[in-house]
Amino acid sequence: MRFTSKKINNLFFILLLILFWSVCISSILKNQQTFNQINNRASYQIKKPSLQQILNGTYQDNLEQAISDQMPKYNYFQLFYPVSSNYINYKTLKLLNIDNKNTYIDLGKINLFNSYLVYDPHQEDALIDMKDDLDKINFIQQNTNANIYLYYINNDSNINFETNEVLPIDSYLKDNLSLNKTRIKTLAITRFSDYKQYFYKLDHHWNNKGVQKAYLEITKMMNISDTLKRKDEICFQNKKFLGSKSKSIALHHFLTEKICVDQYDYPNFTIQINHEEVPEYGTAIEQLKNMEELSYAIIYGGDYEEITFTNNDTANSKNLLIYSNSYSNSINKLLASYYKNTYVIDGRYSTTFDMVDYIQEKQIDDVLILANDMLFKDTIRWGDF
Amino acid sequence: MLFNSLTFLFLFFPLCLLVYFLFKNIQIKNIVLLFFSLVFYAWAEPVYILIMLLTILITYLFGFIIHSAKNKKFYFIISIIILVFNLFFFKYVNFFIDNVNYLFNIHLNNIKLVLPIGISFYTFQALSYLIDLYKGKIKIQKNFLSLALYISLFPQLIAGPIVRYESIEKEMIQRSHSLDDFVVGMKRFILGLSKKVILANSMGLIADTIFQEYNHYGTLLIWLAAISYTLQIYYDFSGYSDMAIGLGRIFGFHFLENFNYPYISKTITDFWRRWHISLSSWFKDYVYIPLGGSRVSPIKHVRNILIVWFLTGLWHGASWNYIIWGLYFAVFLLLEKYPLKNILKKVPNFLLHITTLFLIIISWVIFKTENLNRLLAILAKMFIYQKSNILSLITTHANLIFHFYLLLPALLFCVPVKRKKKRKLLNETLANILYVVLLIVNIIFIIGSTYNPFIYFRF
Repeated sequence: MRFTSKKINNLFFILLLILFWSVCISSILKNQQTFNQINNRASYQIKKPSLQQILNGTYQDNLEQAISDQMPKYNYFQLFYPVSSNYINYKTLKLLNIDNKNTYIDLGKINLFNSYLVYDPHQEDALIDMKDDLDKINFIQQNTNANIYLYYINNDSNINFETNEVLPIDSYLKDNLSLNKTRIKTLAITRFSDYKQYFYKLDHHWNNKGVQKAYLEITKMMNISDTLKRKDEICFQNKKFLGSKSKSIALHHFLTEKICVDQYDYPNFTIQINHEEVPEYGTAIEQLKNMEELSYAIIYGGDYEEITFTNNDTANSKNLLIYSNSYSNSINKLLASYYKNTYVIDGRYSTTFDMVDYIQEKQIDDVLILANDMLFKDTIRWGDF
Repeated sequence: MLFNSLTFLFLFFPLCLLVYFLFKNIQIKNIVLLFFSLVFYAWAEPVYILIMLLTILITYLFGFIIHSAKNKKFYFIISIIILVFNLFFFKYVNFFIDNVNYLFNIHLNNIKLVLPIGISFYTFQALSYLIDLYKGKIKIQKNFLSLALYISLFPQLIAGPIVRYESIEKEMIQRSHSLDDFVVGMKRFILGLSKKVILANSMGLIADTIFQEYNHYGTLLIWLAAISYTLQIYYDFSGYSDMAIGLGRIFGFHFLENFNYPYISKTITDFWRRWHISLSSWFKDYVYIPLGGSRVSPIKHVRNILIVWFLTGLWHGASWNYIIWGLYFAVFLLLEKYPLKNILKKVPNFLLHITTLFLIIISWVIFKTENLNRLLAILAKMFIYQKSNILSLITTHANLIFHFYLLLPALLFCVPVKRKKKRKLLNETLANILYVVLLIVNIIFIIGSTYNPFIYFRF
């Protein structure tokens, strides 16, 4: 065969294709990825088909997802398009000087409001979603001797920043809970300036100021006089913050915000996570200084089914149960500093938890339900009742 | 299965290529293609593949009857009725019921039906085979598997082009495969994929977003949506045709072109010589010419054009807007053939281009909007000026900004670009690399839509 330049080029093209295909297909067929770090979930994997799945189309859909998750460098493939498109959208808004307006700018999965990433505000009918969970709290209160407290964290979902209309959460809780009204408190957010003060720009959690405010309000509600005093506030200006909201638009490696962490002299704790002792929960400030990227979980600690803090320095014999989601991660140690044993349960991860039994078993004196709209939207376990 | 799916790009297509090129015998190659074509269709329609197989069987059996029977006209008519009825039942029966209910003020229930993918395309291919066989234009295909392959061949099965049996009759028995065909086909496929995945989908997002909330937007933005949809439908459809033609070329088939830069047309007549060529030529050869075409009295000619364009509109969808769309073109075609025939020759080309494009854009608005009240409201906004708040669009849908940037390349690539005839070796090599990069970009676009992080897990 005579090799003309055209033939050489054709062969070259085919070789490039074969190379690309063989690299991708071999990775896909190896089917080894088990956790998709980009999307924070288990990876789809290629499975054996069943006739039923093929007939109803679920096998085809799963296979399509599995190929995406099992691609080589799947993280680059999955991130490149959302990063590029959202980055261009964001930069164009900045160029047009629209990003800092007091108006909701829909970025697709989240809004931009005066350079903060915020969720759509709920409508009032969203309150009804809480009813089932509030009934369960009433049941628990009627069937235990523990003191039950509820602290509700208002956030961007509960207020329309353009009109300052706030969902009447406080009154709804007091009307539907049988708890003593002095044992129900909400973190009051009535305008955007409040939200800016207490919450992160790029993450759905509260910042150190929000934690501090909540700590003072909770301890007052629970009649805890012996509170920890803040030693110092350490701020990091130029570290990348892997915020949940910036992650939803794949810009968590590009957007930064000033992160401040409060320093306390905590008592000596023995900490267990899911019954295994661990040296620490969260990251010490000295270690944070050396990290390039921070996140709420890195700073304060992650989400687990059960965390136990045993306070080795207190004479107090009382026990506390905190029932919450990730919002409690930043306040656990502060509250645990007053009690002998503090149990933190994340209701999203438990399959067997029963609060009435747990209170009795652990001899819980005080229960703090630290809630927000997400807690009541998620499937959480209260018990078999 | 779709061409722009990961399953096709990474599993189905490479496997099909591997198995196909393992064998030299053309009959075995055809069996391989048939097998993969049936898998391709069954992947999306695991139940309704039976309808397609039934269509193939009916076509095959009636092919024999028409070929050998004495009263072949009778059987020919029966076969046409069966195939058309099959299409009518799945695609038009509920439209028919709705209109009967409206006309006679009765309340017949709709039949719960799902429209089988590609039924309009494979039915028309089957019809063309039987009609050409009846007319003696083609020889009967006695091999059931070969006929099945013709009707179900996956490159053109679900979105055309509508391939006439006579155009691939010889290639079914004997066809060549070359490196050049493979490369040319593959490059055509990649270009088609890019048209669909990058341009069509982006333009579609702009069009859909504005049209869905048309009440909130003024004239300028409605026109932007109409232009975006004009681009979307071109890139979507021509992209699929490019992929089909490219894939066909890889397997040794040479399908006819289906699009020829329709947006540079000077007249509506010209437009329909450039847009979905396989469909317009099908209606011309099997409906228009048998009715007499233009070789009849002017009144009959008008009748013929109205019938053809009524059917063309109806073929596109079971809704009155499609029929109006078809008849819309009929009116302008008639104007070009009769009162404006000599006037058009005197009009400068650029004016003809602009006017034709204007009419085409309006036609796509009619095509897109099934609800007639909504259509009237949108058309009113297009022609009765209302102020547009562009800032409102950007703030409400900032995710469109990225796609706005793609408007310019979308506008540029829908017109032909002059190419240098001679290329240096280095340019060809660079072009090859760019094609592979373009393929990777397409895959990034396809996969990018799967980004949906679960925020609260272990955070």
